[in-house]
Amino acid sequence: MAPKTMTPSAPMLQGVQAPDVVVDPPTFYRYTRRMRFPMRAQTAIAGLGTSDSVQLKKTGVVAGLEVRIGGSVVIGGTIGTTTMSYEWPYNLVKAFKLSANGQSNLIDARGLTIKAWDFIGNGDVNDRGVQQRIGNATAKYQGTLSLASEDWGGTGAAANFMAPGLNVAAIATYPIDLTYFIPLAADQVSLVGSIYGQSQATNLNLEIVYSSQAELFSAVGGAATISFAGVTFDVTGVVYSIPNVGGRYVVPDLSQFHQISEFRQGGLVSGANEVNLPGTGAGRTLLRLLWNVYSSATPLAMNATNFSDVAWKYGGNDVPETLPNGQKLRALNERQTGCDIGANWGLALWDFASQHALRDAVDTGSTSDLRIVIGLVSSPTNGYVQLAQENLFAGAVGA
Amino acid sequence: MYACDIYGCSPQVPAGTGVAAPTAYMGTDDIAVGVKGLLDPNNPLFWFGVVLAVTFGAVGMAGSVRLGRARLSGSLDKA
Repeated sequence: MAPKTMTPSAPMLQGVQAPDVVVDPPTFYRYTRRMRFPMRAQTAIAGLGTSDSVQLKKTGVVAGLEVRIGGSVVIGGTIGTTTMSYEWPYNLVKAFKLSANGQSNLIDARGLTIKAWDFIGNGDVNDRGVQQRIGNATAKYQGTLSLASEDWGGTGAAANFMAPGLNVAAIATYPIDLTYFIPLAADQVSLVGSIYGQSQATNLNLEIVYSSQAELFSAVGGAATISFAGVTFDVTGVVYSIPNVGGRYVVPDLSQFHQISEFRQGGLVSGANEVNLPGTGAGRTLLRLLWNVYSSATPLAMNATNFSDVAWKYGGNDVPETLPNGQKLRALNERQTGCDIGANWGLALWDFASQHALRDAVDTGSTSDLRIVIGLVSSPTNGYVQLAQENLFAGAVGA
Repeated sequence: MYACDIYGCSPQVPAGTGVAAPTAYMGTDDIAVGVKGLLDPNNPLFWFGVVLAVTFGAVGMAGSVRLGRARLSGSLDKA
């Protein structure tokens, strides 16, 4: 009598039923093929203050998304005192929101945060020598987060540009070109945190929420008109094929979800402000914390004038890392990211993953009341902090 | 490269797989298994059986040694 073959029930991968697959990272790396293809062809944006929703293609292992927003912004009428806010340009995208396989908001962060992550997660990217203007008309060459291939809005004329914190000098058509990389995987080498997309049960959705005109422009001249009708976006997926080796489909370790989530907390005053991190707990591994503080809707530069003690702590008063002022943290971050992220955008980073994640990553299950300490020299005006945390967590733990 | 090796995340338990119940610490020795174990000198039960047999007279042992004019004798038995 021939032996009977048991047919195992389909295994669950990231909450969806998958064909009979083998988790074998070395074999996967050897036989997979990296692919880049459009998840959404170039399309006009829905408009300021609205959002675009993109249902992503269900194929392979999705490691990242490249988003480009470009086109022409037309400023007409009488320009008056039309002024760009510090939300421009990267927070044109008020939030990237990505949901996958039943986990909502795996990515929920501002455009500026996602842009900064490109420098944080990829040591090969830097902004050195790229000319942009922030706060005044003098060109800055580093710490802008801008790539040379990007355009924040300039007509070519010397004084005509859309620059954060500056008046727009003239009515004109301003070309813009902004690029973002949304890291679905925690790192693009191991692909830990990638999304399993090869299933009809997969539900992969990206929502791009745009800031309103009032958020992007701190003032609009009474008779000025602003149109983003000529601005388009597209989404390209970075996807790895699932190879069939010896009759079995092989995938990398997809046991973890990768999350970048951001929140805002107000009520900051001079002195030490302790901001608790929500959503920490067993089964979650903290990789990075990125934050910046706003006063009068302007980012506070990370320096000793604005910031006194900065630290992260947990429990009663365990303080693993502390620095005496913002300037020290800014210098540390420049060494870590290759970019002066604290100079113009006031970004500050506690990085537990880039150097040696196994050693430095924080198990939030054993660090109760995890929080950061923001020492402010002066009370900010309508001050708030935007704080993003990057986590890995197993599917069953929840977002 | 697994997540637990790179980031120290807990390895995920496959769906439907429970964690084995804890078991008491089991000592190991070189006692033979089965019926042979009853006759193994390493088994305390073997010696318990010997004492029991002598006590109740099931077995007896006697012997003597002559060394010239001297004679040594001994016995294990019911008196």
